[in-house]
Amino acid sequence: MQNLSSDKNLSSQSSQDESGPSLDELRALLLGPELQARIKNLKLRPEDVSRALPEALILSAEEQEKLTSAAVPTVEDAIRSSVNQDHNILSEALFPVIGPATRKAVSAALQNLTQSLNEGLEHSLSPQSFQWRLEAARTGKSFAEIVLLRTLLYQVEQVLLIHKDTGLLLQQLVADTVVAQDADLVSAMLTAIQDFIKDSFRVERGDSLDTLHFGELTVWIEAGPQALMACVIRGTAPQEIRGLFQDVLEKIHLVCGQDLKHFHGDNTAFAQSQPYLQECLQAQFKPKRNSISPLVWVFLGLLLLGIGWQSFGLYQQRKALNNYVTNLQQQPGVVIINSKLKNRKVLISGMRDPLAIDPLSLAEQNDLNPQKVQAQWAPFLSFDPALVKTRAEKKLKPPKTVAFSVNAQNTLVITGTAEQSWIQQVREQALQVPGIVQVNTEQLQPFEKQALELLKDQIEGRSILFGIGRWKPLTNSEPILSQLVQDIKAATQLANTLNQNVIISIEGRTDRVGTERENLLVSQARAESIRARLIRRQIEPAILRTQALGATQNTHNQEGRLSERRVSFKVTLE
Amino acid sequence: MLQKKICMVGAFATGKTSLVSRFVRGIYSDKYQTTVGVKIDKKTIQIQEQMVNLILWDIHGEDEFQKIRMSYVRGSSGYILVVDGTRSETLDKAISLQSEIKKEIGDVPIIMMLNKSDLTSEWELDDQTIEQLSQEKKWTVIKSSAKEGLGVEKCFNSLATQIISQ
Ligand SMILES: Nc1nc2c(ncn2[C@@H]2O[C@H](COP(=O)(O)OP(=O)(O)OP(=O)(O)O)[C@@H](O)[C@H]2O)c(=O)[nH]1
Ligand SMILES: [Mg+2]
Repeated sequence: MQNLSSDKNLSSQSSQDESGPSLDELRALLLGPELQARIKNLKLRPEDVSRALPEALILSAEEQEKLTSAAVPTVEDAIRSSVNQDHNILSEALFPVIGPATRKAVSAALQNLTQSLNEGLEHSLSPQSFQWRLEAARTGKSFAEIVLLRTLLYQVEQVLLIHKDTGLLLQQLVADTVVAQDADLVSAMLTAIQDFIKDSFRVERGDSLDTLHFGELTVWIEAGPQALMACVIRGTAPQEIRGLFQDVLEKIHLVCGQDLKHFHGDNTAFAQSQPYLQECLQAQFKPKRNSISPLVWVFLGLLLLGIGWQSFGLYQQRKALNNYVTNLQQQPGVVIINSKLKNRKVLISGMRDPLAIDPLSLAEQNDLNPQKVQAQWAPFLSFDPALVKTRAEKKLKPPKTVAFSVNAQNTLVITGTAEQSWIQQVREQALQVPGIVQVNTEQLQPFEKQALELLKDQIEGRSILFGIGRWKPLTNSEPILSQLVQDIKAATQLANTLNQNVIISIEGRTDRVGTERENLLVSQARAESIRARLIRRQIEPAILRTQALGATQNTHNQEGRLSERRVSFKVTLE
Repeated sequence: MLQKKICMVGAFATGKTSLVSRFVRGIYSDKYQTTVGVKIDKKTIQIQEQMVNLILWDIHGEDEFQKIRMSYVRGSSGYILVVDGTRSETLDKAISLQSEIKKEIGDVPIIMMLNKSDLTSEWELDDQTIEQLSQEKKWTVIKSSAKEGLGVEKCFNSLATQIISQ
C-alpha cells in the first residue's frame, strides 16, 4: 500500500512539474531506465495490483462496507453466470455446507413438531399412554419421544452406495440375518428409476427420488453430487435417521471424493466407506422388557401380600380347626371321623350322641365362625360315663336330694335321700338306661326312714316326771304328753310306709328312796298310767309295752331325785 | 471387483432383450414382450485373467413414438447397437442413435450386432455395405442370433475386452 501511494505521489508530482531538462536528468539518475519507463506508462500493471489487492481489501473493509456493496452486483453476476454455465460446480462446492445447514433448519422444525405432538398427546389418556407416561417420567425423556420410540420399529437391512452416473454399486452392507437382494441389479435399477422419474415428470433439476415403498420395505435414497446412498428399511424408521444417512453420505464424499470423480468401475477403493455405512445399519426392535415396570412390582407385591394374607388366614384357620377338633374330641359323646378346610370352610363329619354338647357352640370359642362350619353328625349312644350320667338323669328324674355319679365301670352310684316310692322303682329303671351296667343305692335313703329316726330320737328324748311315791304325772306333763302322742302317731304312719311296725316301750323309774319292791311297783304303776293315758288318746294299744325299771340311778340331791321319778320311752321298729 | 455398465440400444424388436437373456441365462423365447423403460441384468465374465462384472442395461427400443432417454446411457463404459438384419431400416436407426449417444457420453467402445442371422431368407443387409460401414466408423460389427446363440458370447466378450484395454 505504501508503495502504491508513494508511486502515485511520485507520478502526480511528475505530471504537475513538467519543468526543465535538469529535472529529467535527475530523474534518470535516481530512477534508472526501468522505473522511468513505468512512470512514463502510467497504466496499472496486473502484477502490481495482485500484490496490492489483499491489503487494499483489508483497508476497504475497515472503511466500512463500501467495497462489499460495490462488489455485490459483480458477485451476483458471477454466480449467475457460473450457474448458467454448469450448476454442478457450485452445487458440488456448496454441498457439504448446505447439507448441515438444511438439517439444522429441519431438525428445529421437527423439534417444534415434537413439541406440539407432545402437547397433543398430553391430553390423551389411554392405558397405553399411561404406561408411556410412566416410562417418560422414569427415563426423563419427553412423552412424545417415548411414543415415537415405542411406535417406530424398524431395521435398516441394507445400505447401498451407488455411483451416480453409472448406477454401479460402489459398496454395500447388509445387516446380519438379512437375505440380501442382488445389490448390483438393485443399484442399477434404482438409478434407472431415478432417471426415469426425472425424465418423465419434469421435476425441478436437482430434485430426486428419495423414497420408495414396497410392502413392508422402504428404500430411502440420499443423493449426493457423485454418489447415491440407498437404505433398505423394513418397518417405519424415524425421520431423524435420514439426517444420519445424509451425514454419512457427506463424509463419504469427503473421504472418497477423488475416487468418485475418477471412478471407472473399480470399486475396491470404496472399501474405506464401510465403517461409515455401518453407522446406517440401525435398528429399533420391539421393546424388550429389560426393565420391569414398577406396575409389575406393585402387582407382584400385592399378589404376594394377598398370598401371604391368604395363607396367614389359612394358617390361622387351620390352627383354629385343629384346636376345635382337639377340643371336640375331648367332648364326651363326640367322635370325629374327618375334618378339613375347603374353600375357607370347615368341613367336619363324625358321630355325636344326641346328649353331647352342640359342636357349634364350641366353634366360636375356638375362633371359628360357626357359619363357616359345615358338620355332618351320625347319631350314636355314647357309653362315656359323663354322658351315661346325663342320660340317667334325663330318664330317672332324680329329686334334688339325690346325686348321681357313674364310675368307670359304668356303675350308677345314687346317693342322697328320696321318697321311698321313687327309691323303690329307681333300680329297675336305672338298669334300663343304656350304658348303665350296675346300680349302687347303698347311700340312698328314703325320706321316711330319716323322719322315723328323727321321731324316734324325739320320742326317746321325752320324759314325764312324777311326785314322790305317786304314779299320776305332774300336772305340767300335759303338753309333753300331747307332743308324744303326735310323734307316736307320725312314727306309726311312717313305719307303715316302710312296712314296719313301731313298738313303744314305756319305761317307769323311781328314785332310791324306798325298797326295791316298792320302787318296782311304783315304776310299774307309773308306766301303766302313761300307757293308759296314751291309749286314751287313740294310740294303738298293741304297740305300747310297759317296763318297770325301779330305781336305776343313785343321785343325792332333790333335783336329781325328781328326774329319777320319771317315765321315758324306747322306740323299736320291727 | 471391476464393474462396467453396458447398454443395449437399437430400434424396437431387434432382439436386445433376447440377446441379453441368451447371454445371461442361456435361454431364448420366440414370444415378443416389448421392454418398457429399462431392464437390468448382470453377468460376470473373465477378460484377460480379470473378472469383470457387466451390468447390462437393456433399454427399450426406439420407435417413432418413443425416443430413448439419454439419461439411461449416461455412465456407460460401452454399448451395443442392435440391428435386426431382416429390417434394413433398423440399421439407419442404429446409426442415428449412435450419433446421439456420442453427444451425450463421448467416445466409448461400440459393437454393432446384426441380429437374427438365422433368418437368412429374409436378410436385407448386404455384406459390402456392412464392410464399408465397419471401415468408416471403426466399429466391430458382428452377426448374431439370439435364437441359435451365435455370436452372442463373442460380441459381449469383445466389447468387454475393448472397454478394459482402453
Ligand atoms: N429368428 C429370430 N428371432 C429373434 C431373434 N432375436 C429376437 N428374436 C425375436 O424378435 C422379437 C423381439 O425380440 P426382443 O428381444 O423382445 O426385442 P427387443 O429389442 O428387446 O424389443 P423392444 O424391447 O421392444 O425394443 C421376439 O419375438 C424374439 O423372439 C433371433 O436371433 N432370431
Ligand atoms: Mg426388449
